[in-house]
Amino acid sequence: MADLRLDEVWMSYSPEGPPVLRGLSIDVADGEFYAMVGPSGSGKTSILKVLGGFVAPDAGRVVLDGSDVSGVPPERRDLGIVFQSYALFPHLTVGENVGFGLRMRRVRAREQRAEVTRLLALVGLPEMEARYPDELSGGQQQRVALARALVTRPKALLLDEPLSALDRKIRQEMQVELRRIQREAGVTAIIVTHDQEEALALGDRLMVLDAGEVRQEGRPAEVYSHPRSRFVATFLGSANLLPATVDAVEPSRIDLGGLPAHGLILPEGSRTGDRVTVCVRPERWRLAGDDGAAPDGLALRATVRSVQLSGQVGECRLDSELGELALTVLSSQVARLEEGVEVSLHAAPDDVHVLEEPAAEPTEATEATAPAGSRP
Amino acid sequence: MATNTAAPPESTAAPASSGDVGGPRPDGHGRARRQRRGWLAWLWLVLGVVYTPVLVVMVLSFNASRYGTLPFAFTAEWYVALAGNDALISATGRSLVLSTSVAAVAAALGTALALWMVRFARSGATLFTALLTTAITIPWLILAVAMLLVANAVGVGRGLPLLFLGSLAVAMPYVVLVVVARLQGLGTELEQAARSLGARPLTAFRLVTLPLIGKSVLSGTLLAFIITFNNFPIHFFLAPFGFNTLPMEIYTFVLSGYDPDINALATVLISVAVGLGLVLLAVARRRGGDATATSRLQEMWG
Repeated sequence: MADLRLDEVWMSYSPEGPPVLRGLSIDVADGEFYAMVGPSGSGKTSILKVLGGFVAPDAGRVVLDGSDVSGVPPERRDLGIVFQSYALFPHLTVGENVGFGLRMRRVRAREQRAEVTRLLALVGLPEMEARYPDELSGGQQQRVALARALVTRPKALLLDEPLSALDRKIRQEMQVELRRIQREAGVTAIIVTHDQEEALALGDRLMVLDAGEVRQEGRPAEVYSHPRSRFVATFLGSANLLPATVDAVEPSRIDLGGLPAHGLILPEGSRTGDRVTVCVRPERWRLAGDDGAAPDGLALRATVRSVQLSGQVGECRLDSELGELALTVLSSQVARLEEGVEVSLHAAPDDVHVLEEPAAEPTEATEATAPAGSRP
Repeated sequence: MATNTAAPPESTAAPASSGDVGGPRPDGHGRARRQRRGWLAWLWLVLGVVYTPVLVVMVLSFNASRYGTLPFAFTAEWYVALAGNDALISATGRSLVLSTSVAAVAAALGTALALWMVRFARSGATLFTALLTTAITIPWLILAVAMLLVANAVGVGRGLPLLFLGSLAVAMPYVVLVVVARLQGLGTELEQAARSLGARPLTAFRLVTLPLIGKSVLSGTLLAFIITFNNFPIHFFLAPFGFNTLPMEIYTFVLSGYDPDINALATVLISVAVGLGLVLLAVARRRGGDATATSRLQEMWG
């Protein structure tokens, strides 16, 4: 158990190659579950390699438990790592796999056996010692990998896309299990994943990574509901992105192609005339009429073009004066939203985020790309 | 004679093909069955071309007739003659010593080289693999002559060092290629996992990588042994005069007239090879939980 820090880390795989990590800093507190999420190629796995000691950074420091471990080889970092492929030793039994770290520390055989039994019970796989990894299901292998990483009571646990190889159903079950085990072991944990749902569900704190840089960091709910960039808005969940111009700063007024919006919080240092992007989460629209006309926020009329029901929620596409919009409602409300019906949409000021970047192209005004992982 | 020994393949083919007689089947299976028969026939033809002469030699080693004529009359006299044939026996000894030492060195150096190629020469690995693959396609006769030419030019000449070096150069690429393929399939995560659990690099190699590539190292080594044992052109051009390996000795014998004790020697060698193969398979199978060894057995006999 310990805190863990990366200080201005730069890293590239070859001297001429482009840097994979660009001055990256993170600070993970003792006992915290820290989730790093980003698209493939964003540098997630490279961070774990640097933390694990398998790759040396070109610049910057890795601080573990208060001391700089930059030159320390992997075997002396005292970290538990769960690899994406689990990396269980196929020629050793489950018991030997879990006990490997203790064997390396020359723990006595009797204690080794006791610890292995304890860890296998913790991950919910009692009496599996004699099996070989290839006799286990994917979920069981995952648990063994977790037990093996935890048996040495490491200073921190690194998880590299630990659930990506599992079925959706088992994945959700394992998310809950991972949290429980991490809590019970009281270990600092860092998980990297490309799955936004996993990151939102698991992390005490969340960091969105793109091209080797931290794009946003904070509590999952906060990052999700207050994205500060187009990238974060679209990578974590889906978003309506609308081009707009700042009309007035104090009090704020924003012009979305003729449609005004009042009372929004502007990015710091905004000036009249700035081109910005307005972001509204599809589930944050309220169907007006619910609570009458609201003075602040964004209100507009739109026509339902299509409705797609997916379990608990319905996903709608609407045509409006701002172009195509995405709207997500609970399935109980879907009945009201037939094709061709005109509705009034309202988004409260707190649900409308003004992003500093101008929309890339006017035609790209609406973006509602849900990452593949979020669909059943 | 030929008709006599052609019989075993056919008779063993019968039980294999009778396995698919499982009662009436829908018509669509008729074509598949005919195809299966066709492939089986082809397989047995190929096996027959290899094994028929071997079986003939084995049978003849027990035949009293010096010239391989019928009727067959059992005798062990050729084995007695073999026991007294010092030239053949010492040639066998030389071949065994040469092949064993070359295979051992090829195994150690080849495995180390393979590890280096996969782990550290990442971008170069493809180039090296291509070069090694090309190297094993060069005809041994040409290679042997060329080696002798160069050796003479630099003043080394025929001799045991040259024979050893030449044999090693031919055999080692096989070890490297077999082990490289296995290492690439293995990836680096297992070793990293061992390291993260506290194993130093050598310990990680000994406890994780080596047991997992062991079978590939072993098959590469056996390949190196067999290739060195058989490599007549290399022996012929690089061995010092008077140092006759077994293939050279057999060649000399055949030139001067063929004695059936060579049949006896062939029978002994084949028996040893087959016995060794069976022992290795049995050992591989007994290491329980080893799926690949058993499936390989099933592939052979299933």
